[in-house]
Amino acid sequence: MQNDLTSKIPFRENIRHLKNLLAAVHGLDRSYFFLNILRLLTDTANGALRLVLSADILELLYEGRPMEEIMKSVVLLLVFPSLLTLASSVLWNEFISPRKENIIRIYNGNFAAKFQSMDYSLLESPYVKELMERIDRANIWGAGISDVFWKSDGIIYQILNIICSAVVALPILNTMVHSRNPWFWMGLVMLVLLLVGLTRLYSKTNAALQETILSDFTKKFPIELRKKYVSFTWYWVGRCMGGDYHFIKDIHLYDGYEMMKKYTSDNIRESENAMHWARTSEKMSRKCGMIQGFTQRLMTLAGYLISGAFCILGAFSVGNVVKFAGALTNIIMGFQRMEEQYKDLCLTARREAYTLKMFRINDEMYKGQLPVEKRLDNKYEVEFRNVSFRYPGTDSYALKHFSLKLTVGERMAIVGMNGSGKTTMIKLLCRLYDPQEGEILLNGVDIRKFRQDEYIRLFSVVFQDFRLLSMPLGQNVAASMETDGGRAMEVLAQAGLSERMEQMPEGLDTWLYQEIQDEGVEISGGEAQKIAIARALYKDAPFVLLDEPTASLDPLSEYEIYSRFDTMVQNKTAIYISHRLSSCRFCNDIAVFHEGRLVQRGSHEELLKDEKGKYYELWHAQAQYYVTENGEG
Amino acid sequence: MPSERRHVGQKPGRKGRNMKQEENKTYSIFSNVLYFHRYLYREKPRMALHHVMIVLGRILGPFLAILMPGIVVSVVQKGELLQGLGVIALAGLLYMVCDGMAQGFERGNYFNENVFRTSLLGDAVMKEMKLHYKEVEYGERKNIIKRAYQCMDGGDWAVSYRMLDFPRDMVVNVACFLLYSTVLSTLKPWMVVFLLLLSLLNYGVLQLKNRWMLALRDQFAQSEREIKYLTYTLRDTDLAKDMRIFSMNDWMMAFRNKVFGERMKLEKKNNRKMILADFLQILLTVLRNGLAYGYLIHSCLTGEIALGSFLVYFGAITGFSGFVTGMVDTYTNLKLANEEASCFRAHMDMPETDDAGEVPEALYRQPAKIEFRDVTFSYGKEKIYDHFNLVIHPGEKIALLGVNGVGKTTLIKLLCGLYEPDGGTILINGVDISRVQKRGLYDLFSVVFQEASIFPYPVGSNISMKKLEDTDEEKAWEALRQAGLEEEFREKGIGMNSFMTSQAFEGVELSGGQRQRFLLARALYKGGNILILDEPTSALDPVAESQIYEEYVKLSRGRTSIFISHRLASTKFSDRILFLEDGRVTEEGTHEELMKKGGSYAHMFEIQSHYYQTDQRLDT
Repeated sequence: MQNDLTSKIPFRENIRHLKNLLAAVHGLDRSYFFLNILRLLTDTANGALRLVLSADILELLYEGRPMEEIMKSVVLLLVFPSLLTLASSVLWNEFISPRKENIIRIYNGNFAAKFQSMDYSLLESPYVKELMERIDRANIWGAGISDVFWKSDGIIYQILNIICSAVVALPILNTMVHSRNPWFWMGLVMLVLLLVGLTRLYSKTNAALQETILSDFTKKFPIELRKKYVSFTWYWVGRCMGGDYHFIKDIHLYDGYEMMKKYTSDNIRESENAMHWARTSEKMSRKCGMIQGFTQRLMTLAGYLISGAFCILGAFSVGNVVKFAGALTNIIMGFQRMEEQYKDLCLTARREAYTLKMFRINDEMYKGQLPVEKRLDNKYEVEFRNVSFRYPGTDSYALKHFSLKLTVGERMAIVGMNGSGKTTMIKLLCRLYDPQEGEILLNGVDIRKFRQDEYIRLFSVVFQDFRLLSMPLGQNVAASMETDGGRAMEVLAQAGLSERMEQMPEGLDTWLYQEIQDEGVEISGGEAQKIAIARALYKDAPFVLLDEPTASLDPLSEYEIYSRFDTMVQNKTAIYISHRLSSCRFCNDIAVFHEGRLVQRGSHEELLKDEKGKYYELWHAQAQYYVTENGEG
Repeated sequence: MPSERRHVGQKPGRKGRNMKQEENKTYSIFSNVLYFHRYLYREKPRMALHHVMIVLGRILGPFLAILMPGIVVSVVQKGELLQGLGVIALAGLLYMVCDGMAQGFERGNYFNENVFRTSLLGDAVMKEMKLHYKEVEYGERKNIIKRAYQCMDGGDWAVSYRMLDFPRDMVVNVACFLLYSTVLSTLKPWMVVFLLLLSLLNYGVLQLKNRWMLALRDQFAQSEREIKYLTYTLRDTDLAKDMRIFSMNDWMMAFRNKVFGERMKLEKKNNRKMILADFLQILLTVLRNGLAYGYLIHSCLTGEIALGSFLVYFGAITGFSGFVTGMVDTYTNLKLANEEASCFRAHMDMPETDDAGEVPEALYRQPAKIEFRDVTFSYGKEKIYDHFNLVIHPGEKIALLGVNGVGKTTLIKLLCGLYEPDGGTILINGVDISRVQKRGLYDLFSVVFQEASIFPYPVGSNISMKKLEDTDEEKAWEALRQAGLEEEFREKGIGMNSFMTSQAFEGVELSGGQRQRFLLARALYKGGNILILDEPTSALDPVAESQIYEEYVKLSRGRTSIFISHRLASTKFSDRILFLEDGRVTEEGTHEELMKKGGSYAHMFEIQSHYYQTDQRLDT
């Protein structure tokens, strides 16, 4: 992948990115920019006013005017800048700063929320993956939307500053020009040449610096170095910072300290020694800073020299010297900073362009407008018809020419080895993905034709890797801020949590985990699984799908869940995936999956009769430990 | 600084109290500033010079800025063109050098401090690896570790930057304060007294402002925590399925609106106080500048001071308040940073796993005998074991059973020395393990924990848990062969130096079954005297599960071994079953004995097995 952040792009494209970004910010708060320009104008006017008033006082003193007259100017110098400072503080604190923070939060929040609103299948698509990679790379060095604010502030401030300073300096400059002094012109030409030289030097150094920081710098190093240093430096640092400690057991018991040190703290230092990345950046950055400092002060010096000379020659008064030197420094510094910040802002815009692209991703799954018929009798029927499916970016089929019919009120168990397509089938059923071939029908209609939000209401799923949030228990069960307390208690009891509920200090309002509230409670894996089941029951959908719901339960809790299963799901359709074949005995309909196909279907007794069948093999792999023994005992 | 280590190495009997004190232990600002600077200068000695340059540049630059107008005016008054311009040029060049130096080194500095932060984090992680495991998992010091990482998080606001940058700001502000005071006292000593008095008032206002800010600090932190969690949650693709099935988006958006709304209110509340503080400060500035300017103008008009000096004093007075504000602000920031820096120090100063202690030869007698004598242990507030007794005979294969949360894994962690009992002793071959050096003790075990980790390091390192150059490759291949992975690895061209996991560059990823086998290879390579397996099969399908059992049984030959499993099938391979309930072994014996007894074990077995009985009907 070519590095696309430091490569040159046409001016027009830069402006396009810039416009997009500013429009995105403007779209979130339409008065922000206006208010901010007002504030920056207050600030720049304040600076110019101070300069002029101070110079006036000097002027009056120089001319030896009486005290009273001078004090009038002093009062002006005390009052007006103070008022402007106060106005700026009010504008900033009351209006601008809270808005700015809010824009940043909403922008970042929207970005995160996009992950949950786009098609699930897109999350793993190569396009989104590549986009994410680019966003991650673009955001090293902590760039992000907040950059936009201080960089655009900088540019606006400098423009206004240049204007204000020019207003101050122009009359003086005019006097100088009209003096027709050859030395003045010579000095001016020399100064401009020097300035151009320094600016070019600065631009070159700065471009090289940006290249080092932003480009995928590892590409410059041989593959061996990259393998050695780049891939895992931050891995455990990140894990430890995230509070993970489980792996430390292995480090202790297998005496892995030296190994880990090599790839962690040693690696951090060695990689710097091998690649000199920080050293190089430091040198260039220092050079940039020095050139900038020199240039700015050179202008101050030139301002004093030129106007000082004119003053000595009697062309104008001493107050003008101070005004001119100050204004000239401001103007040159203004241009310098403005150019720098404009470049920075363009870069930010290019970085954020990927994020904006993310916002613009359109769902690709076809979604119909057909409402799902609400049936009180829950008479729904689902059929997979010759369905084949590959996960995005993979070659092998997870499901192949797969057909299956589910009828209402049925209990169905799905068994099969790891990777036989059990979970895939559930994902297709819930329309997290669409199959490449074949179709899935609800009451005879292709599920793609239904409204997605209504269709998804038909399903409750407990996935193997379900998640609960660090939010109040009741909200977790209801998956909403509004919780029907009675119903939540009922489903929790059904999932077997009545006893545990008594220990919850705040009942349904008890926070889970301590991510947000310190007094949140820790729950065990088994309890979490029961809460997840309660959540699925609370939704009261006609189809309940359980993917290994008892994996982290001990045999007694597992039994508890099994024996409640029928009452829990009542007259709904239930599909049950488990590695523990014992669970199949609950279901009179067992589907055996193997390598993406439905290979057997029937009751336990029927399936067991086929001694060459997959089911027989799976059953006996587990049953061997139990059957003979109990047969004897 | 030895005085700060006073709590380390005291009598173990008073452990609890000492730890409390240790957590409250704060380091002085000075000692922390010294700590971070020393750390940095040790890594990069040239940084000391850079810091000096920055400080000098930042003091002299602004000072020259207020001198320049004075110089120019004096020159103009004298009226000599060439000499005058020469003087201006000299001062200007000096100004250029100072400012260039300050800006240049300051900007370059950033990158060094960045690498420095990474190095510190790496060291903090490695320090965690050296702590006693119980501290890491549940000890009272766990909080210190957490806070140590937290304070190094947050990019450029990480405490390492702050502890390097703020002291520099402080030095500059103090030096300028002194410099300008000296300049002003040449005018009139009482001028300095007057300015100091006003500075005190200014200090009062700033203190007030800080108090207002600190009053809301906890609320801001909580709000930040909520926003962070919200963003993290929404970005979490593992949550994506649940999110869609349960339409959680509405829930999250409602939560978000609540959190963002509260934050906005909080910010406004805070900012209004800031406006008030600004207003007070402006009033003070008007008062100070008004009086000072008036006096200066008076002196100038009466001819007491020259116009050039007037300009210098004028600049000094205007700049003066900035340095007072700077000192107060920097001090406040430094104090806040210091609290966090102390957390980092406390982490780095924590006592490490004792490498002292004996390693008696009897410990390694094969096969090993294990004895728990009167062991008492609490995890947090919960008492797990109360006077627990157990003997495991040499070469015995034990199946450890019990419901979730009964303390099976805890027992293993106690045995390995990862946890320490509150009372009683654990003996291996008659040796009290609390006296044994930790590394020597760890040497005894080949343990596969349920949540064992594969590291993003080379295959060889993952098997040996040593650096690749210290790995016996032949032995590692042999371990892979025994674990049944050699062929697969060779076919796919995976070698000892192939990196593992998706974290690594083109890393090798393993399936559930392969993973278990790989961990088995790790245990085999180590060849510890005592083999312990903690629920190795819960994520496997029946066929893979059955294979793994058989592999493990082969491995356990001639060793004392302990299996923990929910699948009662594991009991088939053991000599003795221990059934844990309420912190005690309530039942023990062979499968047949326990079945005959008809207790909890038999109940559990029946529940699991009766579904497997082909001749039995469903009756529940």
